[in-house]
Amino acid sequence: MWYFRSPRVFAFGEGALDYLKEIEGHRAFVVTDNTIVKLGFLDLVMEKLKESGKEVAYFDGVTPEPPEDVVYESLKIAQKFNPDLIIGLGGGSVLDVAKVTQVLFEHPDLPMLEIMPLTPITIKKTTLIAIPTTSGTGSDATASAVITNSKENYKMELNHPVLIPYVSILDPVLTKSLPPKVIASSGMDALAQAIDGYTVQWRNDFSNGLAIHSTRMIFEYLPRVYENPEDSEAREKLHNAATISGLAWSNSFLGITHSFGHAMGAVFKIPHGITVGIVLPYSIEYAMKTHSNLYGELARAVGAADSSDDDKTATIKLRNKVVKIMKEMEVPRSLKEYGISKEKFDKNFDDLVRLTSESAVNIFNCREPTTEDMERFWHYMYEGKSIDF
Amino acid sequence: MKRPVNKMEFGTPEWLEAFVTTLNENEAYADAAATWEGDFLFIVWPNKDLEIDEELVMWMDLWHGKCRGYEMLPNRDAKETAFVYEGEYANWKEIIEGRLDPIKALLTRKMKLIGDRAKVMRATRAAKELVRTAQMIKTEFL
Repeated sequence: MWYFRSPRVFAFGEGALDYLKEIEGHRAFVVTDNTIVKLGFLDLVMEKLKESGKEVAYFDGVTPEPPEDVVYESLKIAQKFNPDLIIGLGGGSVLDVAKVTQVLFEHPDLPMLEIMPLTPITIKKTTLIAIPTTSGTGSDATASAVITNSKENYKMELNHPVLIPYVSILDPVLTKSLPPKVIASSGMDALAQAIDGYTVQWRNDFSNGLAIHSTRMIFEYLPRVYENPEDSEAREKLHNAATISGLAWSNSFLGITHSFGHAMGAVFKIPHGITVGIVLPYSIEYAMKTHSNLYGELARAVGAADSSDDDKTATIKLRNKVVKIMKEMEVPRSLKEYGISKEKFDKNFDDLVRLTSESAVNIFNCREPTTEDMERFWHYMYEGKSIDF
Repeated sequence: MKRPVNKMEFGTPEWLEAFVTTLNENEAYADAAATWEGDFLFIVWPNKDLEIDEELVMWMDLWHGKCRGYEMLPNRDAKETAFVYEGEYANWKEIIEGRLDPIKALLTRKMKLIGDRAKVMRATRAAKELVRTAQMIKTEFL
C-alpha cells in the first residue's frame, strides 16, 4: 500500500494570483523575504487579499537555507497576529519556513525534528497557501521542508503530509525578474528532483508520469528561460514543470542527489539548486552500473535518447544532456570548479561523509551507496572525475 | 498456547540467535550502523488465529554495527529500551520476506515505532540492513 498526496487546488497561469480573492479566510499572514518585498510582489499579494476583505500581516525576514531561528521569528509574529491563512510567497526557503510556521503555530510545543511522518500531527486552525516565485523546489506541492540546524550544522529533512499546502498558486508574472543565476540554480533543483523522482526505489504509477513529464518540460524550457527570461511561454511552462517535479518526488521520494546535495549545502553554504546540480551527473553515473534500465527508460521517454538506444547508451545520453544544460547555464561541474579549495575539502571530508550517510534518502536511491562508495563519490565529485565504480 | 517449534521459526530463541549471528557477520550492516547506539525491543503482537496468546518480545542491544546482547523476554516490561518496533505477525512476515519495506510499514501505520524517531530517521540505512540480514535467514512462519 502507498499513497498519492497533493495540494487540494493548483491555480496556475497568468492571473492565477486572483485566486487569492476566492480563498475563504479573514486574517492572512504572509511569510516572505525582503527581495520579494523590493520587487513589489508582497504589495501585489496584499492588495489581492485586502480586496477580498482580509486583514494582512507579514514576516519578511526569511534568509536562504533558513535556520530554525528564522522559523521561530516568523512564528512569533504569527502568534501575535493569530491568522487563519498562512501564505508562503517566495522561493523554496520561504515556502519551507511558511510550512513549518504553520505546523508550529498549531503545535507550539512540538520539536521541529518531530515533524516527520511517524508523528501524529493535525492542522485545524489555518489554511496554508504556497505562492512560489522561483521555478525550482516544487515545495508548493510537497510534504517536505528543509530547515538548517545551525547548532549541529546539518539540514533537517522534515517531512509530513501536513506540510503539503492546501493551495498552490503558480502565477508566472512572479518569475519575471529572476536573475540568471537563480534561474539556473532553481532549474537544476527541479531537474534533479524529477530525475530522482523517477529512478528511486519507491517510484510508482502515479509519480512516474509526473516525473517523466516534468523532466521533458524542464529540458525544453529551462534553457529557453535562461537564455531569454522575457520568453513568457517558457517561463510559465517551467514554473508549472517545477511544481510537477515536486509533486512527483514528494510521492516517490528522492535519492542520493539530495543526500550529497544537502551535505554539500550544509558544509560549504552552497545554494541548494547548485549542490544538487553538481551531484546530478555523478549520481546518474553511479546508478549506471546497476540501474541503467531506469535511466534509459527515462531518457527515451523524454527524448534525450533514441527509441533504438540500449539502456546504457540512453543513460549516457541523459547524463550528457544534463551536463550540456549545466554548461550552458555556467553551473559548476565539480566542487573544485565551484571554488572549494582542496584544503577546505579535506578539512570537512569526514563531516561530508557523515552527513551524507545520515540522510534518510540514501535508502530510496536505486543503487544504495556504502560508506566507502560515499567517500569515493566525494573525491570524484571534488575533482570532477566520472564515476567508474 | 501453540509455541513455534521449528528451529528457524520466526520469533523463537533459535531464530533470534541465528539472526544475531548473521547480523554480527554482516559487513553491510556493520558499515551502515557504524555509529548506531541504542537497544530495541522487536515485538510481535498476539494473534488468536495463530495461537500466539502473548506478545513475542525480542531484545537486541545494537551498538556500533554489532549486536552485543540479545534475549527473548517474557514481556515488554522486562526491559526498558531506547526503541520499540512492533506490529502484527503478518506484517513482520511481509517485511522479512521482502514484500513490505520496513520504513514504508511505519509510514503506512502497519508497524509502530516507539523511541527517538528523529534518530531512527537518520539511521535508515542501518534499519534497511537489519531487515536484509533477517532475509538471509531461512525463516519459517506459522
